[in-house]
Amino acid sequence: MKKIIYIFLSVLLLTACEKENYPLGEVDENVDYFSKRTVKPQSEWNELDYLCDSIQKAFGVEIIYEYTPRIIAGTTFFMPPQYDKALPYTKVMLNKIWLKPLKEEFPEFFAGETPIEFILAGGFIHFNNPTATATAAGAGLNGQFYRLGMGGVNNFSTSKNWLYGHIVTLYHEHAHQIDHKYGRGFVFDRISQGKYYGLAGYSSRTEAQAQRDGFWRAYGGYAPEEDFATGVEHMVRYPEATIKQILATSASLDLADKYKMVHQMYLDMGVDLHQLHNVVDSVVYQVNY
Amino acid sequence: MRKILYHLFFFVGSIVLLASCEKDNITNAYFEDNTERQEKVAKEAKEMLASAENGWVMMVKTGLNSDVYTPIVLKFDTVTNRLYVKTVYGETADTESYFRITTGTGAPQLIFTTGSIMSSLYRVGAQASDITDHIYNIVGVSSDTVAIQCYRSGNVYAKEGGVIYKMFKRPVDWKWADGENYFDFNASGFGTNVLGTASRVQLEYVNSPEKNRTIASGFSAVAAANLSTMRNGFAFQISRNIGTGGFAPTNYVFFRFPYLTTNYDGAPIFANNALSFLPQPAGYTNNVTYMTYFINTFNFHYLVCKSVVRTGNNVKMEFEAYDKAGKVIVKATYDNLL
Repeated sequence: MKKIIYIFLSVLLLTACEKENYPLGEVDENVDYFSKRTVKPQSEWNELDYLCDSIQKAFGVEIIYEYTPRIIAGTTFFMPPQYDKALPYTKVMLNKIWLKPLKEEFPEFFAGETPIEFILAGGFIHFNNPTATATAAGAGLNGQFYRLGMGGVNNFSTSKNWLYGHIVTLYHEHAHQIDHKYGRGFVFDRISQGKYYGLAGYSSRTEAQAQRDGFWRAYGGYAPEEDFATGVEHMVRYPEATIKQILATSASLDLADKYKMVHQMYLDMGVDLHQLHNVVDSVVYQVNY
Repeated sequence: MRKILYHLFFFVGSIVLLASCEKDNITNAYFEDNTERQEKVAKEAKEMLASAENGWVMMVKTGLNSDVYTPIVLKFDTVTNRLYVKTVYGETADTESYFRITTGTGAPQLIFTTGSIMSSLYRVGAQASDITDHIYNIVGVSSDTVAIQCYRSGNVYAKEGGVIYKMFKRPVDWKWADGENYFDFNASGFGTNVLGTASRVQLEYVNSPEKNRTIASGFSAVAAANLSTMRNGFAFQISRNIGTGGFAPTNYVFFRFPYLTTNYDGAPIFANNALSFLPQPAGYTNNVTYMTYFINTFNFHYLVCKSVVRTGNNVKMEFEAYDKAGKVIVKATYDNLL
């Protein structure tokens, strides 16, 4: 008897709760519900829209320069870029300096690790308040698997210094993304465990002191995530010889260990960071934009 | 007894389980019956924005003055999504800026999607305007107004929804906002009988005539050598504040006014047929000290030029400033003959 009740109840429970599947109507197959952009008819496209479209077709990266609430959360304050800066920035920095060489020289790394969205920010991130004068973080859009972004687009300039500094920072921010995606690793975090300077301490350290303490830059001594990102950044910024020189001068075993780990991690993803430096150096300094 | 209790418990439990499956009474009838509602409002808004030939006016309150509001004239090209902004703080840069009308989050929104004077005002903050976002909810559309409200109201913990602006169609007699610059010290011949000429300015306060007064005044030229220092102080330029932009390099003219027991040559910006006394954070004689004194004493932070009339050596210029509704609240008449 009990058994029958159980069976009866089970059947009842399984069938009784079924509800209609689409309370708001059928799903429209033509709408891309996951696109962050509000669809803009081609008749309204400007030069940058065409360029973004070409870049998306060639590299699979959706470049976003117009802000709507789908793109910028209400609690984060970014200023949209000036159009006359966003256009040359996309042409030169994103197309010619970042994506094209990456796809040609490091196809495996490009295919596996390139974000599918890239957001241009006119200024830098302003935490908590849109009018705050402090400009923290170059990008601040790096903590998501699929999306990278860079601040400072309104400063766009074709000066070599600016271009070089920006692409190196872009790889720094991308390293944060890699970090979020795969993790720095258990061992990496323990190399300098207990030796980090923290927020208050890093700014008073010189670079030489930081390197003796096992960090590429004083900022890398701030916290493990910046330690990792500044490692990538340093290897992209300086030639292999300089890196080896720093390792020798600092005589820091911690730094040497972290160097090997980060270098190897990127090798496994398909890019030798020393070669990436050569490529970046060449596309910035050997070509005039 | 235990067995009975057990059965009872089991029985009650089953009923609760079954009852919990009952569907609730929330329906989506409203949305089902009004599927096009948001699109309809957005479409109406778009048609309205396009309909004003001379554009729309937003009157924004500043942190400087509670009576005189700053006019912002917006023109919307709904075919290309191009936005054209004119205000009194400086000449608009010759760069493209864009807007969108979207229904992306449910409610129709007017969004200034790229960097422009509108995002610069948002970035710079309370002194220049009470704008707190570059994203606006469209809260009402009628035959002669479009009401928009800032999506956010300030910092991260501030409530949702900022100031509501009732935009009205630009009055036809606001010639200053048309393309032609007739009040322009850079134009050849404009300074004749004006620059370096001791003059008087008669101030008329529409709502409080007891404040009316005439001051010893006069314009004089700013040397080109001083220009870069003064421009460096402009709050809306990218090199001072990277999130800004949208203004062309600024131009200044000395404007004499009574200051404490003497006279002083402050340096307002002249642009778009207007003088802007907005204090600059740093720079020159237009810095916070002098301009704040000026604004507190005379109760306006800009003057738009209505007309310039030359009769022989005599030059008369009429200026005005507006209140919340765009009505004239301050009149100033310049006369170069003492």
